[in-house]
Amino acid sequence: MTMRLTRRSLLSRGGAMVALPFLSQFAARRAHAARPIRPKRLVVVHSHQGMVLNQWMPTGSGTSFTLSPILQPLSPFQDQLVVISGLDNAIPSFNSSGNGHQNADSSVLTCQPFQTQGAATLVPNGPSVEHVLAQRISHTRPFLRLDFGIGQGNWDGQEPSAVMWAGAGDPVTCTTDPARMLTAVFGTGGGSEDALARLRARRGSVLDLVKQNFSHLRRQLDADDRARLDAHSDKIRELEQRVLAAPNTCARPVLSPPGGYDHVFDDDVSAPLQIELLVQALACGQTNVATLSFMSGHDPTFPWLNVNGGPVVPTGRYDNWHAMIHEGREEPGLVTGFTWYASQVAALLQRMAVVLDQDGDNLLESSLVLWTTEFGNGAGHNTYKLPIVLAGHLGQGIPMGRHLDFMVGTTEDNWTSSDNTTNQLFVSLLRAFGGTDTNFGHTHVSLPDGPLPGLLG
Amino acid sequence: MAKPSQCAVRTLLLLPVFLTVNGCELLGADPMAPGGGGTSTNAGSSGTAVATSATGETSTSTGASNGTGSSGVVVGSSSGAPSGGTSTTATSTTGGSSGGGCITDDQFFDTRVTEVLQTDCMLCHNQGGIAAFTRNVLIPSSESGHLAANRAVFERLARIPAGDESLLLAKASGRADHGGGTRLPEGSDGNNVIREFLSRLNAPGGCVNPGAPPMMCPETSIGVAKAPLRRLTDVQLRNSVQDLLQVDVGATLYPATTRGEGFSTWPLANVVSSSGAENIMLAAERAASLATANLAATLGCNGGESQDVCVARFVAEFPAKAFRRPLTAQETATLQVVLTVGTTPAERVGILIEAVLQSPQFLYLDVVGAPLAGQPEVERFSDYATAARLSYFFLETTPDPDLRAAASEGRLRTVEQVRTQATRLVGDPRVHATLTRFHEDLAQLYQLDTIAKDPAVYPQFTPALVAAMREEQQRFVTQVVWADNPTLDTLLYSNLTFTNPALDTLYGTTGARTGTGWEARTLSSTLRPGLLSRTAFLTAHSYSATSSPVRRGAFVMKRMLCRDMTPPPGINLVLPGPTETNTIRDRLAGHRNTPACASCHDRIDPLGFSMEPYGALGEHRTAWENGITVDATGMVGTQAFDGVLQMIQSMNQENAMRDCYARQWYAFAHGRGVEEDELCATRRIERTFAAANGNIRDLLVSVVSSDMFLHRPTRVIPPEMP
Repeated sequence: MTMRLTRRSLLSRGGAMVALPFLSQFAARRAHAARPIRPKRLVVVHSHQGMVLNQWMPTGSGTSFTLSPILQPLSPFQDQLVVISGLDNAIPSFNSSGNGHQNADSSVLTCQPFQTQGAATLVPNGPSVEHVLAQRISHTRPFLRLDFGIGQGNWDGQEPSAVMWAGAGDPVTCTTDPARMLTAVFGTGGGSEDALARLRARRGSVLDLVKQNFSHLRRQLDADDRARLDAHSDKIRELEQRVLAAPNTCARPVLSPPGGYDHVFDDDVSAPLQIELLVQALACGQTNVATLSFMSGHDPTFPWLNVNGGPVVPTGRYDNWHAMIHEGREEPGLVTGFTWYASQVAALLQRMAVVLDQDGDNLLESSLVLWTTEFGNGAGHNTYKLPIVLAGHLGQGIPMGRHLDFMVGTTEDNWTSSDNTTNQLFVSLLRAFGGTDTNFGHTHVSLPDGPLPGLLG
Repeated sequence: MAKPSQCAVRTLLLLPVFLTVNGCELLGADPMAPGGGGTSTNAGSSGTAVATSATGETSTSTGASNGTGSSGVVVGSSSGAPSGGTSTTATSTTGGSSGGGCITDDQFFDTRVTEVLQTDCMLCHNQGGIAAFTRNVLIPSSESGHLAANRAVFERLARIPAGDESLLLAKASGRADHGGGTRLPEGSDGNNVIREFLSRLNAPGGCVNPGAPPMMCPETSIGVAKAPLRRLTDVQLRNSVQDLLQVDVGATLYPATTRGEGFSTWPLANVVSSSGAENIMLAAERAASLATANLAATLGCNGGESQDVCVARFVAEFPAKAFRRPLTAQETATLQVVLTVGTTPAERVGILIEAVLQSPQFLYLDVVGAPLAGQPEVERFSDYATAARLSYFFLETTPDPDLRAAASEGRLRTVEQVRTQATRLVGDPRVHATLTRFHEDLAQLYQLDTIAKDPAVYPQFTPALVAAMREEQQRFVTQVVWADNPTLDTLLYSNLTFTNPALDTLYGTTGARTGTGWEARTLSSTLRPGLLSRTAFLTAHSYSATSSPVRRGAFVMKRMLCRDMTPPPGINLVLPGPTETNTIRDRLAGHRNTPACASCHDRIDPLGFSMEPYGALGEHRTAWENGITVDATGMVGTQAFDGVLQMIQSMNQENAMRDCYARQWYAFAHGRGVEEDELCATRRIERTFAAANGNIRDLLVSVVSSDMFLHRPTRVIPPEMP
């Protein structure tokens, strides 16, 4: 238990409320009977520190499997899941620098080793898969991508290594304050169409001048600095496309968090708020790639949960959650915490299952959700046997409701490598959205080529 | 005594990474073995390199002396008498005199030094080896060209200083952190060979008395440091807008600055993201909105001047102030367009401000310079660029009128002129904010933003208390150190501070309180010396209910002693939890019993133990949670200490902390870490700091007056594409 508990006693228990204008907006439409040929959008959920694999892995495989204790919250959606066990992130073995977290975080979604070993700031050598996909399927949307964060963590004195990257050295930052995200996506509300049109025109003029100044400065720079400047210019172009687009006509949600809410600490309030904003942003066509990251990865205390009436991290036995993950394989608090992540993924699926997009398609039936974490067994702090859950739609004719088991050895064999890697998963992912990729990320003779066998049929 | 292994900075973040390249499994633990921990390899003091992994396989990397007969002992006395050693491939020219029985420098390298390199270094320092990512990458003798290639590498590395000696030698002899441990102990033949070669570098061309100290850092050419394009930090942007337009856009609009391993001034970690670009736009719009709400004041029209003329003048002058230099013709042409858009003067002015504040000329520091006549690969920053660098370093804002005048009148050309401005700026009261920020970054106090404490143990831990700790820190830095006696000793040892009632309770000084506000306090000089025993530092570097000797000790190593420590590969170590009868010292014993961890934790842990008298809020205690009396003794090398004061005194011998502190200011000023080939230049700054008895004010002036601050490598500008 933490300071948050005393502060939390001031947190009014009304629960987080978000007004839902969409239901009335779309109530008249019927959901389409058939799903689209391919998923239209990707949602990536990321939690930290792996799992307790023997409590996460489903029993049975193929279409007849039973969900584990940790995955129980997802049982209403079992027939829309593909659970994948035993896949390795084999990239850290190509690094000779960095600690366990940097290695795992920077490669889990990028499949890239560090650009320069031994550099003061270690960055992966390329973008993460959802960014590559965003550039293909979301570039016509107002937002190339929307990144929602839950909580902010204390990372033992170091900056956490980003998990998502727009390119080498270009980390994606998420927004952890729901109020800020609301304004970013839905504006400040009010303003006549006329006023909004004038604002668009003005921003257009301004950004035009800004772009010219970028090209003027560029001439004074050497190649390395030009690359840095160009990375910034790319964002200006994205911004321009967004601000000049036709205004968002969706009704603006109203957030009503309970009194005393602090987005830094109150993850149990932040999560439903961010999930709702994410879902409504998708429904409103604001982006086709959205991410949800549980940021408090090092020492969360989950004060809204309890283990037999006591704190999730038993006082006095472990320094913090992170220490407990290292040392306390059998601690029930671990399962409690990890199960909470699953419950939030379930909450996301729940909302997507009842909200329609602007074409009248059910969000869950027309999108793909990916939930991953950067470790397998958190205790091992390694990247073998990642616990991966897909949900929603992989494409017409591709069955959901399966457990694909690539495990070599048992869940306790932290050091036994599998024959299949995340490179393959991401190739499949890109293909699910219509790509023809044969590889993703770092290539090497020791890494398997091509898609993940059996995923897309 | 061999400590062949790399080790963890943070015990609990151990990554078992496979490093099985070229069979160079030098490190003890076999990651394949359950429970980790294997036999340690024994790179013994004879210099023999026999690497065995825990599975008993012998390393097969070329150059390793596994049974090829060489024991690493080099025949030949250190007086330079004729060598009986074998001569390898004869490639050398005759360098200098070889009379009197001396061998030439080339021969000496090709035979003696090469033997040492191949025997004692090559095992890991090869392209596929564990040390492949270091600067010391050598070629085995089986490959052609190895002599010339290794000579080039070796000579370059040999000139890198560690203090006043060679870093290379310091690492090899175990005096500086070296993943490979002590390979060439003092007095060994290998060590003597390297010493002799360093002496020969000092006076090339023949026999030299190897007792002469190797000359480091020849004071020849202008030192130059990389200067990557550097975005202003969120604080700098906000301040700049305030000083340009007299409006405040608030603390949350500009994207928060990420800290690298170092400081908030780090540019490479601050690429503008998508949301960052949007935030910059919103900040620009807020500034424009506030400024045009008060159009008359913003424009500052002269009486009698028509508004059109006034606006035109603003459009001509404001961008130059914001860009901190005169505009180019193209930039002027671009921005003049605003005179033709919009319908009202307020709109035109607003558009101009928004465009200027989103332009990279405003957001990034100017990088323009002119090549030096005698050293064309080096550029001297323009006066305008220099003015900006000075201003953002000292005051974190755009250049003031005095600096702008100096730039436009060409009064920032010479070092003396720069020093004059620097001396003025360092005396400006606005420098307090910079001092506070530097020390906050140094002590990594940003962790206070997100740290939480167990309310069962620390019910008094509230946001208000955190704010008070930060304020105490700020007052300590600005009113105790800076105002009174701005030296490093004050920072390290002063027992003065300021408290509010809550901090009095924490320090146990409530009896001295006379009022309700902030009051000066004199604390115990043995128990509360300086920065490392103030509440903010101790609280930030603790866990939620307990102190953390590893975090605190690692902090001292990395941030106060500038000791670079690399994380371990292949270790899986689980430490025991707390019980009624064990102490944190007992629990951490696993660090020192595992050779792979010990080479760093033999230092980290004792440093941390010296701070065990302070709990997770920095409160003083004499017993641990289970009632056992706190034992704050420690020993690092031959230095024994009891408590934090003695620890600081021990570790600051040979001015290690003083040199490191100077280097940290250098890193802060340049917005990045110090690279190895800059260590000579930082050495000069360190010596100046020492000569000034650790006076921080002088240090800041000397940092910005140094070559490194005023020059950059000449830009190689790609040709324009047609």
